[in-house]
Amino acid sequence: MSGTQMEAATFSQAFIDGVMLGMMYILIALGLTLVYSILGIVNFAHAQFYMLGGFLTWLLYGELRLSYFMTLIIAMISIGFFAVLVEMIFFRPFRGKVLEAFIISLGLIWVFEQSILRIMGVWEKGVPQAFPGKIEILGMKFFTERLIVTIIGAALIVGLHFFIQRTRYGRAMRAVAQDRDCAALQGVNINRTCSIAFGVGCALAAGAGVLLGPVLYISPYMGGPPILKAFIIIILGGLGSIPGCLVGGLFLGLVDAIGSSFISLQAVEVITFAFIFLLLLIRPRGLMGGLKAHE
Amino acid sequence: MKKSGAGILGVLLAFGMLFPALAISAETLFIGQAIPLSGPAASWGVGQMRFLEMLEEEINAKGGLNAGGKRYLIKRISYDHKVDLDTTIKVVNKLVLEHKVKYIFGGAVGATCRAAQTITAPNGVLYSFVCWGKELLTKDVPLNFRAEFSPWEVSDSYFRAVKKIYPNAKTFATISPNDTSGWDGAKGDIAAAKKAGITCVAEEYYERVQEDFHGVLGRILAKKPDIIDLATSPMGTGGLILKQAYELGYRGPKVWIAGTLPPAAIKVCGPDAAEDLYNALYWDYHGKYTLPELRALVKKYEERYKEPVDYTSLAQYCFMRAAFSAMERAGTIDPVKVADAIVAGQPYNTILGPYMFGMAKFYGGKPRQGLHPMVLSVIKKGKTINLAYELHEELRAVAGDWKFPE
Repeated sequence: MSGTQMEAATFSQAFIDGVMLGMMYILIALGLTLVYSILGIVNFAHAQFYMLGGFLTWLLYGELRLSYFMTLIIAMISIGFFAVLVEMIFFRPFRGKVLEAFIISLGLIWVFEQSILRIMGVWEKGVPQAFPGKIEILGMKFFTERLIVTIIGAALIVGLHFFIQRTRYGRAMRAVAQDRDCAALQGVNINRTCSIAFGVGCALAAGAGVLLGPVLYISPYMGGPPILKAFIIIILGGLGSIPGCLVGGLFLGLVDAIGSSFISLQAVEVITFAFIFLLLLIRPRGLMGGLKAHE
Repeated sequence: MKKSGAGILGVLLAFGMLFPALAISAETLFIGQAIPLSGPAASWGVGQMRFLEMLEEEINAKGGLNAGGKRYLIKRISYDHKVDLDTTIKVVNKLVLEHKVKYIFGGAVGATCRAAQTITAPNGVLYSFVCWGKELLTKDVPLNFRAEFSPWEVSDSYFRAVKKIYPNAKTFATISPNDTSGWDGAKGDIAAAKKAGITCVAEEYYERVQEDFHGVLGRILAKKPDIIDLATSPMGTGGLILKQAYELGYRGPKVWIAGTLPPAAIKVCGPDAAEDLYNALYWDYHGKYTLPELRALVKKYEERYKEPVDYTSLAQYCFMRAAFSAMERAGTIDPVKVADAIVAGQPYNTILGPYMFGMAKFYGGKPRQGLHPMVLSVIKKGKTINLAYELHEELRAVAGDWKFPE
């Protein structure tokens, strides 16, 4: 393989890696931004649902040998319902109260992490590859797992788009995000809409946990790095903006993967933060602004 | 009222008869710990906490420590520093200023140890840790001990041994966390490898929040290193690096100076990816070159906590035993006198073999660096095989021709 061919192969793999990471960041950030838009709270414990998704993957797919897709479905549904309970018990009393909800979410991070730590132990866990091997596309070899994870991630994002745009509950969510009082006057059940939004957002995070489980590893603290990335994406894309999330997530994933393939890891961090700094100087509302309801 | 008073007196007398050791008025000796109990480095802190818990129970069950005719019951106070400098300062301040502890037996991750020293040193606290960094054992911190090996004590032997197994190895690539421990470990490895005739072709540092290593590993592997060095990567991250290096086609030998519990990494990467991983700070605790006392302790720990033991906590256990015995020998709990007694009483017969504190000249302070026999091991088909052992020259000077029993 010549030098140019090798660079092209490295770039194409880095591109897939970047899109895959971007998709996962987007899944987490979308849930976060959905919850912010509709409930008016910033849930710092959001990535704990990603962690729970990872542990369910380890248990169902890794230990009990259930099929990967079945694991994905069970994890998203069960964690989504669990999240609804969490919303009803912990967040409903503080809806729209950013500071109070922030404190509650910090407490929940501790509760989730320590509970899993006590049950599962301190050591990290690995999940066997779901789709081992490589496949060749247009003469270039790609890791099957990363490609499939990327496709599933994209499908989940498209699914969320249709859910929000085309379903009754999605319309209700948009109405609540635009004007909660007006939506209530139109007969929208605010409590139910908020619970569904919270559940759907957390189910997406759980889905990301299932998808990344076999690619990375599972630990009680795995929620830390992605929540940081999710906040960067939200700031980059614009608070409350779903298209902004998509652009921000892809940008971050691609810079991470392509940068670390061609330059040093530290340089990637510097480039990312320098870009965000400059962007916020020029466009303080991020790339795509944000929804007006909670500004 | 009179009746209940007599009752209480009766209960106290009965208690005194049942537990005569406790009947002698025992004081409490608080032992602090500022360790990571959460986050990716938690595994290095939890083991230290558990071993202090076991020692606390053992000593208190015997009626406490006997120092200078006084009995001291041990009371453990363990705080989570979360590998965060602000939190470290807060919890060490709490230990030293609020609980008035004079002993802190536990610390991990270099930068947090440095932060803790800014409080322990001026307050005369005896502090033992398992953090790396050459500057952590200078003359400015005479009451500080490093319980475990750091790269400066083992890297030379480690790389020499690996070079002996792979005489054709000419190059290696190192990947380590971007912090004090990470840099110290990688630089120590680079220097040791150079002495063994192995040149470093790639030196990469990652933030501890790094999630995916495909990109950087692709870049490293393009330089075709004969050996990959994981330096001071923690277990989970190290496991992920091994896994992804294997996915990218790397099948050569691996070294990992901070690989204190590779079986934990194998749970992440699988046995194939860990094949030919050489370890200086981990070995099969039930295999050859181990003492029966170590095997018994590891068994007890694993039965109780249902988790494997890592090397750092075993080293801290050896230090704590040495320190408690020094308190009894010195007949005092004064940290300065106890520090002197620790060194005066060496070498100690421990679960790891002869154990002492040395390297005063190298670190420019007092002899405070823990030394014990280093056992080299390798991972083959997911199993750890102990290959050989070596005594550091200072330990050899004290322990003579000490050998592991056959």
